Amino acid sequence: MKKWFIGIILFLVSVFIWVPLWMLLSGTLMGAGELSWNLAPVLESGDGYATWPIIANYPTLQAYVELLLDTPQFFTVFWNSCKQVFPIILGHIVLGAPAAWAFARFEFRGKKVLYTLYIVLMLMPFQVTMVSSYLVLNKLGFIDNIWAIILPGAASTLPVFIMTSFFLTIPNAVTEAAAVDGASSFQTFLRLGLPLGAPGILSVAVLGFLEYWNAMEAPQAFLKDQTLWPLSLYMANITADNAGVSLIASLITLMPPLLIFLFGQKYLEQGIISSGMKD
Amino acid sequence: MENRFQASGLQIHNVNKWYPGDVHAVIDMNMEIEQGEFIVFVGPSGCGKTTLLRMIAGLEGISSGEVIMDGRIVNRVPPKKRDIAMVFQNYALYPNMKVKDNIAFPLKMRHTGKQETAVRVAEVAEKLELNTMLDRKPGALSGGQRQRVALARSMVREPKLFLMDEPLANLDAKLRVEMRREIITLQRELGVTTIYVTHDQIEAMTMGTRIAVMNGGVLQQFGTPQEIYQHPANLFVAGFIGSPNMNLWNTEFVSDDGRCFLTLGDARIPIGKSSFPVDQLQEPLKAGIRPEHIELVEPDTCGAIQMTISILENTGREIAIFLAASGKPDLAIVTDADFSGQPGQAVYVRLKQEKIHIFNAETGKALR
Repeated sequence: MKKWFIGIILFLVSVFIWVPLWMLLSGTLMGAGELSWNLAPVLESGDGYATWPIIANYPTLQAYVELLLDTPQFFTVFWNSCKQVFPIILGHIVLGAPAAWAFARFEFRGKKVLYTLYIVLMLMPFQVTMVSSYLVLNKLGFIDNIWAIILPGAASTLPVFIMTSFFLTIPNAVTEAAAVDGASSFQTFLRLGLPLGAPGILSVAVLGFLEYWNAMEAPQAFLKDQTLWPLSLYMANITADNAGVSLIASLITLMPPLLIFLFGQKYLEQGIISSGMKD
Repeated sequence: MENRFQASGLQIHNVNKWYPGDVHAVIDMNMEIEQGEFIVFVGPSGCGKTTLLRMIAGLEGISSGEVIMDGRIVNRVPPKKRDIAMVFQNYALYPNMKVKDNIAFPLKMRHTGKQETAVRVAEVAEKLELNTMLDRKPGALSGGQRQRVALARSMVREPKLFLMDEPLANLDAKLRVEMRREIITLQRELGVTTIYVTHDQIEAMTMGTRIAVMNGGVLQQFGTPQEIYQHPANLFVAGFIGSPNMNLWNTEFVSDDGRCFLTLGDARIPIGKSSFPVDQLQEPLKAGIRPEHIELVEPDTCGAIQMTISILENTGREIAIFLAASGKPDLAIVTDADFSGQPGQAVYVRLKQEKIHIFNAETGKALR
């Protein structure tokens, strides 16, 4: 009886959460006419509320055709997102993993100060460093260039913080054994640090992907040229008369994070736990 | 496997280790270790034995003094260039690698050819009965098997020096005895100088050709197991080695009518004058005797002391009897397992006077 009751409550909560996603899905199957009819009350400053049938009254794939076949711009934007996000993740691993290894394994002068600085930078919201970042990027000639997104993203400090906490869990004896067995510091990092820290590295990749795939501030601030815009910005600028296309674009934008989440949920959770924060 | 190991001598000269906060972990350590010896560092936890081992391995900096291997000062030589192999207390296997890759790791790091690596891994796996588990990962092995893999990894190379840091501490009692023998046999076969750290005095006595007893960062005595047991250099060594512990009590030297005695509480034990450095016996003294050097005797025996049994500990092979009596220190003795006394019962004991040790109670130093 009790279980049954809890089941109903949970079902209602999940319905509540799933409604927007269902609306997205059913909306993609509505024709332009049906969509504008449904949305008219909110979009054209009419009275009353928008209506949204559970299943499209006149289902059509018209919007899919329009987006996938008649809007090459969408693919450019999708590709822009990929071009920005994947190099950033690569940067997190190539730059961040050795840095994290150094923090976790070596004693050096200024380590504590440097690490504190990393944490402070990590906690700082984008808006705080936006102006100074803009000035630096401008001086370097990177404004209106995808490097303005990639470089600061790749040098982000959060991945270092997360990977450091993973590397710290590797017992000292293991790396000491490697040192006695004749491995150099670099070999130890390569043969033991990377494989044993793999969950941390995957966590960083998953978290990084989700963060930068959805990022709006940096592209908005540093990219004036619309042909460089990633999906997150493009989506925000689709107008109301193009609502059908916008819904499908949303659906497609949602796919990569959803897949990453499905396959990387374990690492995502570990990463969030180890960083002790969630943004 | 033919003996292709090169033995190495090791000297430790005035070695000290300070940790931040003025902790003096190893104090003026001096040792000369011959090639092929099996040396055991033994002492209670915190005595500096592991720190000294780690300094020899190069895993810990040396604050002052010198570690010399084969006539070369190695203070600043990194571990990988010291040509040593080490077995860690928790084995420190590489969890991401299969057993065979764990064993092969030291060879890979030295750019040994693939074929030779395979041959050597097979040899050492055969010797340690690991053939059937070469493709498993350490996580799928039992404690004893992991221990063997750690040994195999240390033996696959041709180290000049084996270092073992309490390698048997995590095994159950039966396995520990088996592995103890295995390590002794292997070491004898290979002839590699070995330093073995333990807090277990049984391991120390059974394994070492020489034992370094340490306490508080100071070397207390360095000698063969027999020397350490029969002629402890001071009170610490006397009390640390041996189970049950050596009986120790405060004593006085009494000379009466040309005969000499040591006091045991209110009793007197006659001793031969000639065997004692009489001129040093005026200081506060402590006497000691091993439990096996006290015998149960008939009441009318000359020098018999009456005491009462307080506790009996039967190990099956022998019985440890703990005795008490008013006006006398408690004594422990060991006797045959067929002893039939009960707690509370009175017995008579006699101390074998030639086996009594005498120490300066202030400095702890042995006088005899």
